[in-house]
Amino acid sequence: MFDSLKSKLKGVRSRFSREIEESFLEEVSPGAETSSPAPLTVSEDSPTETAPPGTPEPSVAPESVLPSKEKKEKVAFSAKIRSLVKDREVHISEKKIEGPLQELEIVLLENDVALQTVDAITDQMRSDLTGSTKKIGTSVDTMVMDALRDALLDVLGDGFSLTSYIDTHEHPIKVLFTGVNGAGKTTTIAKVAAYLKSEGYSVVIGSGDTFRAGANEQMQTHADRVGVKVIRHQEGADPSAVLYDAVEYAKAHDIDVVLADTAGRFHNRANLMNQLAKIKRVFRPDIVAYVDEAVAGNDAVIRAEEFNNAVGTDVVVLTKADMDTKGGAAISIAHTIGRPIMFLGTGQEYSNIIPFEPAALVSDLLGDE
Amino acid sequence: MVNNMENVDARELQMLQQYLEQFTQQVEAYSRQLEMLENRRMETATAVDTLKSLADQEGPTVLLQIGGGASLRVHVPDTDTVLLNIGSDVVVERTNTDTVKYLEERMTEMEALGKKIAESIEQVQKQAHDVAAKMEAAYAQAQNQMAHGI
Repeated sequence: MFDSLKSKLKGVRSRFSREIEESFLEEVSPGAETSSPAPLTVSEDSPTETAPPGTPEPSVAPESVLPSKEKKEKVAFSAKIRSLVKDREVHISEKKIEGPLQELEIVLLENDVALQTVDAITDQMRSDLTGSTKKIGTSVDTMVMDALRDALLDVLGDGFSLTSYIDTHEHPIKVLFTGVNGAGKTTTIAKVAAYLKSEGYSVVIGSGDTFRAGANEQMQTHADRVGVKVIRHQEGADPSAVLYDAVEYAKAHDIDVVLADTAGRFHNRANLMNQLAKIKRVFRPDIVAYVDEAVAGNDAVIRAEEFNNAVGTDVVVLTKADMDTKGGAAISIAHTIGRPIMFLGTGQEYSNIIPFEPAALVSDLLGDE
Repeated sequence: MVNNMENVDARELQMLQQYLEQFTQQVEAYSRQLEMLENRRMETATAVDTLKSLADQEGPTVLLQIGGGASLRVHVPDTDTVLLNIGSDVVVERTNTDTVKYLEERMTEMEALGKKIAESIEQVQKQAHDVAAKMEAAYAQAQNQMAHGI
């Protein structure tokens, strides 16, 4: 999963570390400093250095008879030496990380991460690393890893635990699955049912896709396999009525969760979107889950946004994540539409679904042991 | 999966039939995905070939298709500067060599993904084959029972 992104992030991390290490070596070497055209680092305890280049000195001390540039270098150098000797730390400048930041930007874009998410990640990396101090002896790679981890966690949000939600809300919990055609809604519902069953919850499925030929039978087959009851009407029936019956069944039999299937539809089909709005009014879902393919990349992000604007979305489920080498949709979707990812579909078996945990994904992306 | 095919009843046969239909649908969906991927790979391969062949030429002339079967002869003043959409509709300027490298990496990724999808198709086809074999056995058993008046 997300192999391309993983390997490229590793390359960018090395670049960050290399640039910062070089910056550190320049700090330590006075020769490198005096030959440098402009100071690359900023020392907090040196007011002279924080002034922009070319800014006149506010007051000239009597003993200061040196030309201003020479004096500035001398002060800057002494401040750095003091920083190195007393505080044993060096400061990281924005200029030094600009190259690696651009590389990170390109890597993320190439891996289908949405532009606004890329901006959010690079902005946070810039603000985290710039002006920060590296203590001598600490690992630069750890600093970069931490900054990247924080930036990724920030855009991924908190995630969404369905089981925690079920435990803390009145039953039956009604989950409505929406999305475009062919994204894997029906299979996802079967997987979620199998997952909830394994966690000890009782489940009933409402076969609300009354439009697609064979959808009822497909749902029934899945449900038989995972051992869950399906409420279904004949093909062409009103999906709202099917789902209403599913809720009534759940209430009568003390079922914990109702999983509601709906026909796949594109957001630009007004009549189908109106039908979905009606389903929402009748079914009154606790959670509206938007299902799309991780492999669709940025297209999935755009569609999720459109669906969210049209009928609202509470959580996202990304299918076929095992086929996705880039991870763009997984990283961007929560940040773009402001809704968390609930599950990732990772294969063909019913057990191939994992609750989305941002920290686990980031650890996997960054190659944590 | 359904095991224990002895004494197969009509309901079980119906279920097997549904499984078979579902597997067939899955294979069709994967095949469509594979076809789309292959088309994209071929398109990328064409771009790589074009860039490679243009790289050594000084101000070549190419045919630019403008739709409706119409083309224009276009003079390419600079074959080393390529505008490349890297995602999210972000277009960057790259050299010919860098673009070829980027596109070849994409092709490698697409080939790896294609292999994965092909493996999935094979797996589902195997499952479908097993179900079909079980159905055949069940039908044969039913016919045998009918022939013996059981």
